[in-house]
Amino acid sequence: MNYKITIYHMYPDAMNLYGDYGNILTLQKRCVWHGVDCKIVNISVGDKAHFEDCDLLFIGGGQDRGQKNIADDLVMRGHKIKEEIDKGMAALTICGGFQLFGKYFKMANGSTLEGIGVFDAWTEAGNKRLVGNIIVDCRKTSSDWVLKSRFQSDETLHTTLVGFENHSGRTYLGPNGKPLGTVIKGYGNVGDGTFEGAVYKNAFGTYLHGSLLPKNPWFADHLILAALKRRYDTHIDLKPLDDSLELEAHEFAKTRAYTAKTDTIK
Amino acid sequence: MRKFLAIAIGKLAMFFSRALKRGGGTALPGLLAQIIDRKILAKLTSNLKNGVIIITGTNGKTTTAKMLTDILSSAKMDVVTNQSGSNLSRGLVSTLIARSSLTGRRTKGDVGIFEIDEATMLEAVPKVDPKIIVVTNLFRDQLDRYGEIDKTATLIGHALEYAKGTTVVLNADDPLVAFLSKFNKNAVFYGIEDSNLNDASGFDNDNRECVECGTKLDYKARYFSHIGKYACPKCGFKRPNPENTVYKITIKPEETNISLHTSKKENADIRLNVPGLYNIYNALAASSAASFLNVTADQIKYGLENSSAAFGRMEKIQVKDKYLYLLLVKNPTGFTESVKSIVSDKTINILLALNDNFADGTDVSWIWDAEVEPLATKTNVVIASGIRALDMAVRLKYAEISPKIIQVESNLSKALEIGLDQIPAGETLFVLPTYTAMMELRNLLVKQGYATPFWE
Repeated sequence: MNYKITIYHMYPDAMNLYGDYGNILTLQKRCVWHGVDCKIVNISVGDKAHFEDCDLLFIGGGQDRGQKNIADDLVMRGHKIKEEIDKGMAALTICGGFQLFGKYFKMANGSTLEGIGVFDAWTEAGNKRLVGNIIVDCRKTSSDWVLKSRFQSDETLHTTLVGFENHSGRTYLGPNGKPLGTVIKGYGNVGDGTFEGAVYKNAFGTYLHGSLLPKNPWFADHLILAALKRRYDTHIDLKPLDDSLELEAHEFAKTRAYTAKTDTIK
Repeated sequence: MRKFLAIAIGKLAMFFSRALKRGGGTALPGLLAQIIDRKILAKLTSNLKNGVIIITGTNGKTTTAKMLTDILSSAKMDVVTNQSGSNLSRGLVSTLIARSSLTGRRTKGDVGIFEIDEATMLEAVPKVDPKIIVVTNLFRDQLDRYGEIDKTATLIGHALEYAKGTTVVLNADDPLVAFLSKFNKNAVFYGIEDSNLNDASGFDNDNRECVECGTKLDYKARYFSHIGKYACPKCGFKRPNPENTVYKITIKPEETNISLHTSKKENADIRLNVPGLYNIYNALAASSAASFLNVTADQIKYGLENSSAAFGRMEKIQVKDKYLYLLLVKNPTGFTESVKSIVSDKTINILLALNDNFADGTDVSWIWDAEVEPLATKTNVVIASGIRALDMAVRLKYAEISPKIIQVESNLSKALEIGLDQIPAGETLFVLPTYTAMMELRNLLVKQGYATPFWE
């Protein structure tokens, strides 16, 4: 039989900055290549949603305008989303979406957007935009979620994330907040080069785009596996794919993080 | 005295820069001259009797400037431009220095047509005091440099507030651009009125919410991205009625025919030499600006029909018995539309060159927001090149182009050689480079004698 997962793409019309579509495309294509049926449901403001049917939720980044528009709608669904995440629903939240999955976002104009508090984290606007290539190491932070020795024998290949960050928000983790990884090169959550992103159960938050998933195929597959586990409540194995092109791009992005000139943003 | 010194040093730098073949000398002379005399730009532009026209917006600046130059030239005006694509203020100063007397009292030319980056508008507008400002469109472009698109719109808006006596020519079909009329009373609009046109792209990932109130806009017709006939169901913000229109469009493989109506109530049927809907907008923007300088519809027609492609924008170059088409790509909408314009029933050969230098935008994630999927069924030779060749290769893989046929060669010179080598005689290689990749490729072609230097 063919396994099947359902992905909810939250607010694709408002939250879609910086190649977020590439993440959805990557999940969709990799599911096809793995032989997993994958249904993608777009949820916009006011749309009916049944989160108990959702195996993997995706929300991308948006401009401040996009964020304001959806924040109220998201908060109304917040309780249900948290409940399903506690039951194993996987989630990938990026940039603006990540911020709204924290407790709140205090914006540059002084007003505050309420978040849904999946992550014990909050965000405050900063002055300087943090922009550049970034490398994140998930080894120290991920003992409970990274699937060791999957696909490749070289462990660093599937514990490193590469991407590009571009955010003015500073996201602080509370006492129960766990980061996604430690920054090897780049700014990270608050710009100090220490921690990046957040993890709660199978929900992940990060500032990485680039897009994130195409060049980090191990992480894309981790999300698909988490979604399968949620749907079938048992570990399902995926056959390995030929990821040589993706991994070459991954390696090059690591090199480029050191050689590219960083921009200064006013 | 400062002015004299600035011009003299600038001219000297230009001479050495060309003599040493360090490019066309389009930036350095201006940089030096501005260090010596901060007001040099205003001093030199005030010499032009018909003033300055500024062209800004995300896409189509260079092509619009080129078309407008050809139109005004057909109306016997001597046009000063910075069409080399060196569109920062130091590029402008360089252009003017080259045409000025050493004393700076005279500058050869009747009218200036300057491309200005969105981000430098606030700086450039007060310095130049333009007669006309044309805004083409606002898409996502190099977000890492400019911040997000709303910020760019606000930035241009503030620049328009400065220019109180300036005529502002705006694209009515782009809600973000039309919104800019709030900042300036002398706004006039252009737009497409052909009711047979409704070709909405599947990738509607740009701004489609009302700029005023954030509600999702209703579209009666959507031509591409967020461009079309829109209205906000909540606050009443809607597409303004344009005075300058293209009311009929016929697109054939080799040529595009348009019927133009100007704000002077004249009509003209015009054949364009460049493909794609976005070039119709460029022609319309150029025509609208021209009609405010009392150029007749006949002169507009003559200028447009004799206009060749701007450098690197669908520029055709012959290399022995083969052809290259250069199409600059720099943002998702431009990339999507360029792909659309080259895909046909025939199999095509492509070289995609992705750099991530500052002028390209250091963030390459925009390639994932472009619709490159039409390439999947119609390609023969496929080469990914540039600094980020591997990123482009992965993008193509996820567009279902088999990795087996994707050749990765980050070295541009080698990639070009491979491409030309693998296509049969008489065939065309479509080259889609980002900005710095295009400069490098073009320099290569100039060295080999196939293209003319861009400063000529």
